Amino acid sequence: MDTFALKVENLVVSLGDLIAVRGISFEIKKGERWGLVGESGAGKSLTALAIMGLLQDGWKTSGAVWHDGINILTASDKKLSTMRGRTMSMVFQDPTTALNPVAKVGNQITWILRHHMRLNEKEAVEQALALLNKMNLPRPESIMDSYPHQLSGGQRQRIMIAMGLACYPELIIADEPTTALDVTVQKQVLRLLDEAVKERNCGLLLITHDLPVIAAMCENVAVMYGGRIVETGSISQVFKNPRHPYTKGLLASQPTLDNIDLEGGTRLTSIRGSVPPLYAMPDGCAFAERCDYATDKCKELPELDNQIQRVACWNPIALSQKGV
Amino acid sequence: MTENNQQPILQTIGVCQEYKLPRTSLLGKPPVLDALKEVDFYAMEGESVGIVGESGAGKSTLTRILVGMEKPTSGIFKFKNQDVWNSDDDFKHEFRRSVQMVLQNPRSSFDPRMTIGQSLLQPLKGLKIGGNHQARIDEVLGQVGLGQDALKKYPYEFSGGQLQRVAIARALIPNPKVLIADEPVSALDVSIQAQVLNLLNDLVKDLNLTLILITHDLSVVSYVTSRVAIMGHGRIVETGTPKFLFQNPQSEITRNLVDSVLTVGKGIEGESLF
Amino acid sequence: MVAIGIVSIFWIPLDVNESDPSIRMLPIGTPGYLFGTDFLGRDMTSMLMAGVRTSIIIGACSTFLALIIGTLLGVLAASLSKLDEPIMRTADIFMAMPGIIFALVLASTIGAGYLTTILALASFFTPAFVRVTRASAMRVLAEDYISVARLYGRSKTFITFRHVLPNISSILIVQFTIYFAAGILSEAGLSFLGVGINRPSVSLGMMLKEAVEQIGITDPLGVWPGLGIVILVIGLNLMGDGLRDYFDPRFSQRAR
Repeated sequence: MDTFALKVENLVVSLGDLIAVRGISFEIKKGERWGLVGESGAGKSLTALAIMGLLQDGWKTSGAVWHDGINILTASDKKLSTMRGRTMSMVFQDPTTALNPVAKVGNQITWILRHHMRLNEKEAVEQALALLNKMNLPRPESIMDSYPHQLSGGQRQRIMIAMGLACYPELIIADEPTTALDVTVQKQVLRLLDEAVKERNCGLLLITHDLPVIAAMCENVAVMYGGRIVETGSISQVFKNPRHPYTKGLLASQPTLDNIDLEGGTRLTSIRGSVPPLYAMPDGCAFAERCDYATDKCKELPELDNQIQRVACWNPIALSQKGV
Repeated sequence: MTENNQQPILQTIGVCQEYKLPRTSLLGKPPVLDALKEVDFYAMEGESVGIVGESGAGKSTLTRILVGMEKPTSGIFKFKNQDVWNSDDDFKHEFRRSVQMVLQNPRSSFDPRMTIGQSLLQPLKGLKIGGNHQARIDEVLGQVGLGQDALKKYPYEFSGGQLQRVAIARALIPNPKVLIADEPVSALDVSIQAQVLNLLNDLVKDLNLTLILITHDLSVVSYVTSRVAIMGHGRIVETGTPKFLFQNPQSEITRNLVDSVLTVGKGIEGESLF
Repeated sequence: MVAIGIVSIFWIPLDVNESDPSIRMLPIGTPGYLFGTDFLGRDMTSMLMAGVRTSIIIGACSTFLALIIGTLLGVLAASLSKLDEPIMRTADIFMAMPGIIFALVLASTIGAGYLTTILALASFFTPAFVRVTRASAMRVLAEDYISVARLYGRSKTFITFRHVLPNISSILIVQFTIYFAAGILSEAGLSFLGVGINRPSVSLGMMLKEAVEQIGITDPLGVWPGLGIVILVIGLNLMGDGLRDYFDPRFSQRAR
């Protein structure tokens, strides 16, 4: 058996001349929890879709995405469907569209259990109720009997997570799972996901632009910009001592309680300029035009270096001299 | 907080807003949704006030009333200490010019078939503002940090952050006294949020604007405003400075909101990460 | 977009507006005329061209009429809630009526011919346009820039003409081509049944009818008009698809 839950090798995703993902590689070992951070235009959504094997026709990929012994990019639909929900499951952003609106919730959950785990109806129902209980959903029997539109966004998202966990997958991919939820619901849902993932020792790939969410849920993070990974490492490394100027700028520009003074004295530093559009991506480092540390060398494309906290930059920010 | 003799520039007193829902039975009265219940809200001139709450709390309804889009079912809504809905047309016109809005989704705020230049003309024409239109447009574009080359472009040629700046520029055209920003940065990328928030802060200072910022994000509101009203279930449940609310939340709704704030430095249970 | 181009090429050689309506009676001879002559000696080529012209005119007119009325009613239904129900129910009633019956009724009262066919088809298509327009208009009216326009004191007329109509125009154009094709097909069907176009005017459907009467006696005369109909309809459908693709991802792709 592999030691990893997911291994992405030089993934390139393109549509005609436009290259949206420009060769990213990373590995998620079993039980590891990774965050993939990026803003719009960074390519993270396409990366997520490619990993799940859900790219629409017309998008071309190269490289490999290994999971459970198969390369998702080249696997047949049939093989992929046996894998999805069983060893790899997904939680999407919009709970409204992710659940089948004309099927009762209970049936949707039990279908997965019967299909992948070969349980009979009775066992499936028991398991489903147990799952819903775990998700802190009150009166699970009535929820099983409801249709998605009768439930709130938070409830639907928890159901999606329950469905994702049902078969004890090796890896859960969550794409902006709480962005559409209210702030208070978000915390509840994240807590549940956190507990469940820890309990089952699943791997987690959490894709979002929301840095605090990643800090709360993941141990490791990969930062994407312009279709590439520009920095990767553990949360405590990257978020405390970012090496890439973009990561640093990102951390400094998000108003969080960490960087604003409640007395009203601070000023957030924003990153000047904006993300280059796909059809105008520069040849060298995509961030150079917005970077305060850019030099001529940045016209050449930097690769990830080989330190523990890896960065793809010619002028990375020096790590502080602490021994952490 | 002591108030000087000034009256608030914008104020609601005992405002309630009801919405009629579709009938579920033929007999009896149709059901009614109480979106706002006895809301007393005010903003002083030059102040930056925040309105925070979750969805369903009533913020959007209050916003629509503050901007004059809807008339409250009961209660009084005042601008410059005068009842807006019971005043003459001239005053209503002055109100429309003085209170402007920036919305959450910049893409939806602009007609995709009009150039930016045309969109920026709309307030001038609709509100019948005289003077040199072109000069005014150039002026506001400069205030938000955009150049004249923007005028001939269409909305799709702009990024979300840039488009939101255009939206702010458009709101500034009638030279308003009050700017109401409804989730102005929620739809924007993180690294752009700061740009727009900084811009709002600067404009408030330079133009002595009154800013009313509506959001669900306590961190954003703490950065921009000096006083915050927390809403829940159609009421204002608590007001105070951001610092006070964070450190001594009085109501449970506020406590929940404060608890739910995630920061980069803390894990899911609030444990410190570094 | 390439599809549009290819299709237009296919289509245009058939669309020769200067087709001479001369339908000469000649004895049944064959070569000398591009498509030969029919059982009465009439020149097939001219008839084909005239037939295509008829199809196009009828298709265009009826669809255009449906477009105008449909858009008007659809936009009214979307903007004025009091008119919404009445307009939509009326549209439903029209939709429920079988088009052929309506055409037959019209034919028996006014008599078959250009006008009848156009009216029949137009009334058949209008409800569809009303629906599409109403749905698109409602979507546009829900956008923020409409609220903004209202706050600026813009009148409803202004909003309708300057904001709503331009934004639903792309959808309407696509619908137009689709129904144009449907119109041609329907007209052929009606004429085939004798309810649409009759002599001395020419139509492809009518030619088919006459061809059917001659099956077994002369060479298959129905091939050409049939082929003409097929090409026209496929061509228009492809053009409609092409237009739809042209309008759709252009804005969403670029805006990303």
